Amino acid sequence: MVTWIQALISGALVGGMYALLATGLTLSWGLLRTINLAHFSLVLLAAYATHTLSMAGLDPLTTILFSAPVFFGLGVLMQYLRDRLALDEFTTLIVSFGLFLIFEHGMKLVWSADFRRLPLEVNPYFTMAWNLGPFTLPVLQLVGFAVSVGVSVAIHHLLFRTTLGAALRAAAQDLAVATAFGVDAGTIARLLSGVATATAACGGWLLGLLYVIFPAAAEQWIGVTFAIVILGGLGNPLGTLAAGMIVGTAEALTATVGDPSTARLVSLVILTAALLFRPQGLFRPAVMEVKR
Amino acid sequence: MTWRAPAAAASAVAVLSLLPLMQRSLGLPVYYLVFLYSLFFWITQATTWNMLYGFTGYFSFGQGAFFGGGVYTAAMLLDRLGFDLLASVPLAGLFGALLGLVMALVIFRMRKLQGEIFALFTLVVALGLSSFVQSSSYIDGGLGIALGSVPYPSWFGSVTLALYYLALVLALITVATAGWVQRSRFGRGLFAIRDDEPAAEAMGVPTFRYKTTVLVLSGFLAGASGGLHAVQINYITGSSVFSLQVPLYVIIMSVLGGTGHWAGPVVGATLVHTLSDRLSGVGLADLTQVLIGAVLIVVMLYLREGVYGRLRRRAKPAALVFALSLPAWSLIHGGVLDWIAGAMAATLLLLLLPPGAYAVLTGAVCGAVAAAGRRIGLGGVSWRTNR
Repeated sequence: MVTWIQALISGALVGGMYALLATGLTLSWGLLRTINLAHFSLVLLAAYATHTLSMAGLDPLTTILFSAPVFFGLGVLMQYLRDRLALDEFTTLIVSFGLFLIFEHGMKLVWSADFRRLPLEVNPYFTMAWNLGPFTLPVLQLVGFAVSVGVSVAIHHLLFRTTLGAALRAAAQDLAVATAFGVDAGTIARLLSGVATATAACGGWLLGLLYVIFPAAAEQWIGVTFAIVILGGLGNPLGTLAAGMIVGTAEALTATVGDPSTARLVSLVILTAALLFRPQGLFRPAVMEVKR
Repeated sequence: MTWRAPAAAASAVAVLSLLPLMQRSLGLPVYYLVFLYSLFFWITQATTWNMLYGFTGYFSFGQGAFFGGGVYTAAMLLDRLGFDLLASVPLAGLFGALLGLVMALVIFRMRKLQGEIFALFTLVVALGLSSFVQSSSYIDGGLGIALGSVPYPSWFGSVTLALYYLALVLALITVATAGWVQRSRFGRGLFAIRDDEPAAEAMGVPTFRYKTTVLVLSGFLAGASGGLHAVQINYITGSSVFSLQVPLYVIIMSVLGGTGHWAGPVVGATLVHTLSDRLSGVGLADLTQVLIGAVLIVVMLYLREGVYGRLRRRAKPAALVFALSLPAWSLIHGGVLDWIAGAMAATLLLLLLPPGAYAVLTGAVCGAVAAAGRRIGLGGVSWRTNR
């Protein structure tokens, strides 16, 4: 029983991190009509930034304060270019795939293909854990989970409880009508793109603190992250969080019951079932009927 | 023009099929045969992907499913069941076709699975196969399969030659199929589906049957090519076979070359494979990938028809640049392959020139040629240049 509950806890914590990786992707896909494959590279770039800044003597936990604003700016710039070049949804997929290649191999040129992990002297938080009765809660994963929940709730509030959010959803649904009602679609899109990219900085920060990183690592996250994006309903931050936790716990439970190598299969089975029976996701997309 | 293309194709096929026989007397390294094998492999893979996307409008991330399924089918047949090479390749193709059929029956019955959702579904199939293969202890069990030496018909001479000829034949079949599809009634139906599926259906195109057929066809050819590749890679692991390399490369090659024409993926595969092979050879592998990414973006933004479309419109200048830079490279560096790669790079640069800069360049060259001609008393030289 204890192992089961422990598996549930670790699964939920890992799922929170999955959700953090998926949040930026679901925002740009659901509300900006950009399928941004380069998001994965940006996450990894942020992980390298965390690594490099920490090795230079900064406290690993504070590195996010530097990378998040920079990444926000990067997101604004990307959206500006997307508008300037007037890319359609499919083109963003291919162009961001080109960026993905450039980033991956650019990172290889800068940081080499070596596996890197922060040494314990630099990252003392890695071994810290909070013992709750018989259960172990690693501090860093707990922090990551808290960040993920905080980000999801904040973005949910922004999208569904503020005028700005209403304007964003209106612009995603029908640009012409939203503009006629005085929505400055360009500016708010850049803002949202900045937020989405800043979540990549958060995801990368956790990745750099918790995992071994290498330039090709971005590839191994694509499958599970897209599964969560689809399951969570496009543009729905709380749905994405829930989907991340479903996939995380399902994987952890499978790994406990059976072979750890079949764990990945579980998330794919969930995704396949969802694609077949609920292609719009388990949760409600932020924008239901999109006029193209 | 009508006889030139078939004549060029026939002579290319003749040269390629005779090359292994003359390889030793010409003093070419054996590596050239391996290089050409890989080129045939990529042409096959890119062309089969393009039949789905370029012809039918269905963007797939799942090339790895057909390819990887073929690799593992052939590996199982060769390693566990004692089949020989010639038998296992078509059976690997059959597995790909079966996979395509199952995918088609599931996906195309569901109206909602279009666009991005189709792309992701195919990715899921590939990832699912990968997980299945790696977790099944009978097939792979995470250890991989080492094929070692493989039984092949002895009249090929060596396994390198067997791979070379089989890949050449497979590439020819695939490209010929794509060319035939493009010209056929079936192909016009596919193009109609690509451009506007509801309208195509309303006009009486049997969309479900056509889409299923093209997925099965693409699966068969990609699976057979994967089956052959199992022997080439020899040590087969789930993580490398199902990595994103194949699905990503076929997209790059097709989009770069041009997706609307059967020749686009052939041109794209030739350019990308040759250039990346040569640059990786001199230790610039990562820089090559960065360049490929950049060229992909440029092509996507400014050259939607792909390099092949430009090549047709700038055929003569491109041939001239290729012919002039080939001997120039031969003076600078390396062997025949390096010269060809260098000439290809120069030609690619010419093709990527935006129309404005291209007009200025050709104007200047024509002017200089005409001036030089007048000086030696040849009179005006007219040289037609369009865009």
